[in-house]
Amino acid sequence: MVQYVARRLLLAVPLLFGLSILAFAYVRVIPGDPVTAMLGVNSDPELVARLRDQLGLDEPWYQQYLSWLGNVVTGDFGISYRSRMPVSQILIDRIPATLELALGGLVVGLLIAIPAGLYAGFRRGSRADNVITGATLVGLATPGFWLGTLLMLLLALQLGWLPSQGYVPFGVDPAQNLRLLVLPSLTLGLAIAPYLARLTRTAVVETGGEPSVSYARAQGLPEGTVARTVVLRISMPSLIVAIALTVGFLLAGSIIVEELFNWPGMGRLVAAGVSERDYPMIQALMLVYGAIFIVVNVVAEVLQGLLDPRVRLT
Amino acid sequence: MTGDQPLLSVRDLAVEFGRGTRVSRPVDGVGFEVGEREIVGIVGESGCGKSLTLLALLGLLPSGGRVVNGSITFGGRDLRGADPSVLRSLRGRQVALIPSDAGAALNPVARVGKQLRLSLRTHHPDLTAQQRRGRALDALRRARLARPEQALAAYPHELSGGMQQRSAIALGLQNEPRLLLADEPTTALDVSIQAEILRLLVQLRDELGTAIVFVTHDISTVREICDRVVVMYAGQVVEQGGVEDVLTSPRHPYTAALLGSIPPLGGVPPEQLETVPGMPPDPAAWPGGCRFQARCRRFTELGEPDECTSTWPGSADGLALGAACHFPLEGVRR
Repeated sequence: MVQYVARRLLLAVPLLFGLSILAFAYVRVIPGDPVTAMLGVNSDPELVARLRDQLGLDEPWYQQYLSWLGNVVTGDFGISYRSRMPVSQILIDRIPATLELALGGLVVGLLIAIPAGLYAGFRRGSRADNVITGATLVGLATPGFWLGTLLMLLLALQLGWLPSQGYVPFGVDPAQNLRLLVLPSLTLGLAIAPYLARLTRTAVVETGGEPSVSYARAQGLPEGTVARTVVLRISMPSLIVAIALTVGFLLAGSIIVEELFNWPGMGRLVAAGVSERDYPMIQALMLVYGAIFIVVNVVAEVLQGLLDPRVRLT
Repeated sequence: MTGDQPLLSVRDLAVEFGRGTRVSRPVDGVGFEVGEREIVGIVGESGCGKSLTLLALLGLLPSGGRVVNGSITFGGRDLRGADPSVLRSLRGRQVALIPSDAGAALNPVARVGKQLRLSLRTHHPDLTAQQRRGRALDALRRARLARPEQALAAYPHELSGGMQQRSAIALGLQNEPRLLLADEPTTALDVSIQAEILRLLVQLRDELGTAIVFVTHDISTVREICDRVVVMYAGQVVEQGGVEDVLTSPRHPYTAALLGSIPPLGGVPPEQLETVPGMPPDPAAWPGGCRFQARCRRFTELGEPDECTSTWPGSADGLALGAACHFPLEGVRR
C-alpha cells in the first residue's frame, strides 16, 4: 500500500516534468511580451533592453528553461514580474483559499449530484429520471459566471441572507469565513453538479446490468439490499475515480468563481498573470494546478484499491 | 413423478418482448412438469428460450420482457399472477437459482461468507449471527468445498472456477429450497470439474430431496443426471419424456440431430459427427407450421409434405409427451 502510493507519486514526476515543458512553452507561445506589458508600448528602448537582460529573457530558451527548472526543484519559483515578490510566497498565501473553495464546491456538488444521480439511475426511464437528466442538460449549458451573478443578486442583494463577496481567513473569524464561503461554493457546486450527477447515474445504470445484480435478485434479496450491497458497492470504486477526474473542471471553475466573488485564491492570479505576461507566475500556477490534480487522482486510486478487493495496491 | 400434483407445472407459457410491430415471442407455448425429487433437463441451442423460461419462473425477465400467456404453478400456488413481494419471498427460499457463471454472478466486492449470511438474514431473520455462520459453513461443506472456513473469508475472485460454482450451489441450497433452477451450471467450467459439479447436483438431490430443473445446451450432460428431458426449439417444446426414451430413441428429427452431433456413449465413434445445418429462426418472425422444417432432413427426404409448413404438430399447452412432429421417427435406436 505505502509502496503503491510511493510508486504512483513517483510516476507523477515525469508527468510534472512534461507539464513544466508545456507551461514554459505556453507562456512564450502566446502573443505578447512581459517587458512591453510592464513598461508600456512607447517606452525607452534602453530601459527595455536593461529589463530584458535583468529578467534573463535574452538568454537562449533552453538556458532559461534549465535555470528555471533547477530553481523549481528547490522550491524557488522565481520572482513575480508583477508584484516583485517571490512567487512561492504569493502561492503559499493563496493556496488555502483556493483549496477551501474547491472543497466547498465539491461538497455542494456531491450533496446535490449523488442523490440525484442515484435516484435517476435506480429509476431509469421513469419521469423522475427524465426530469433529473433534463436538469443536468440545462445545468451543463448554464455558464457558471451567470449562475453566480444570479445567486449573488438573489441571496445577497435581494434577500440579504449572505454577504455578497469577500474573504476572511478561517483562523481569524470562522463563522464569517463560512458565511462568505456559501455563495462561491454554491456557484461552483451547481456548476459541477450536472457532470457528477451524470457520472453517478451512468455508473448505477451500467452496474445495474451486471450479472451480480440479477443474481442478487434471484436470491430474493430486497431491492434496498440489492441497491446498497451490490449496485452501490460495485460502482463506488470506479465512481470515485471518475469524480476525481472532474477536479479539472472544479479547478477551472474556481478561477471564474474567485474572480466573481472577489475570493483571494490562486484563480485570481491566473487572469492577472496572463494579462501581464507574468511568466514565472503563470508557469508556477500551471504546475501547482497540475500537482493538485495528480494528488487528488492518486488519492482516488488508493480509495478505489481499498474499496475494490479485485484491485491490488502493489 | 410422485404424488398427484407436480411440484412445478408450466403450461403454454409465452414470453414477449417489444411493442407494436416489433414484438418478438422468444418463448411460445412451453409446457412441462417437475415432480418432487425429480431432475428435469431442458435442452436446446442458444436462443431457443430455455433460459428465458427459467427467468420467467422466477419473475425476473429482463426489462421489456413479459409473460403474455400460460400458467406457472408451484407447490399449488399460481406464480404468474402472484404479487412481486410473494415472488421475492419465494426466490432464494423455495426456488433457488444456480447461475451459469458463478464467477460473474457472485458479488465481486463481498466475501463469500457475507453473501451467504445476507441471504440467510433475508430468509431466516430470527437466526443469531452464530447460527448463520454455522449454517453457511454447513452449506459450503455440503457443496463439498475443501476448506469451507477459508472460503467464507474469501472474495469470489480468490476462488477457482469450480469453487465459485460450489459457493453458488451452497448459496442456493443453504435455505433448503424445494426447487433448484440450474442455468447451464457447468458451461463456464472445464470438463473434469463439470463432471464433479453434475455428480454433486445428483448427490444433493438424493440427500435433500430438492427437485432440479437443469438447463443446458449440452445434451450429453442430460443423460448423466436427468430423469426427464424437455427438448426446446424456437421457443417451443419439440419433444419431452423420460431420459432413456428420448435419448435412446429420439422421435423428433431435431432431437435426433442434436444427438447426432455428439459422439455416442461406447461403441465406435462415427467418422464424422453430424451438424444441424442452418440457423434457428428469428423470434420476431416465427415461420408457420413446424419451426424446424427449414432445417429438417426428414422434411426433404419425405418430399416436403404440406403439413409441415401449414400446421404446428405439437399440443396446445406444450405438455404432451413424445415428439411434436407430423412424421416422428420410429424405432431409431442410438
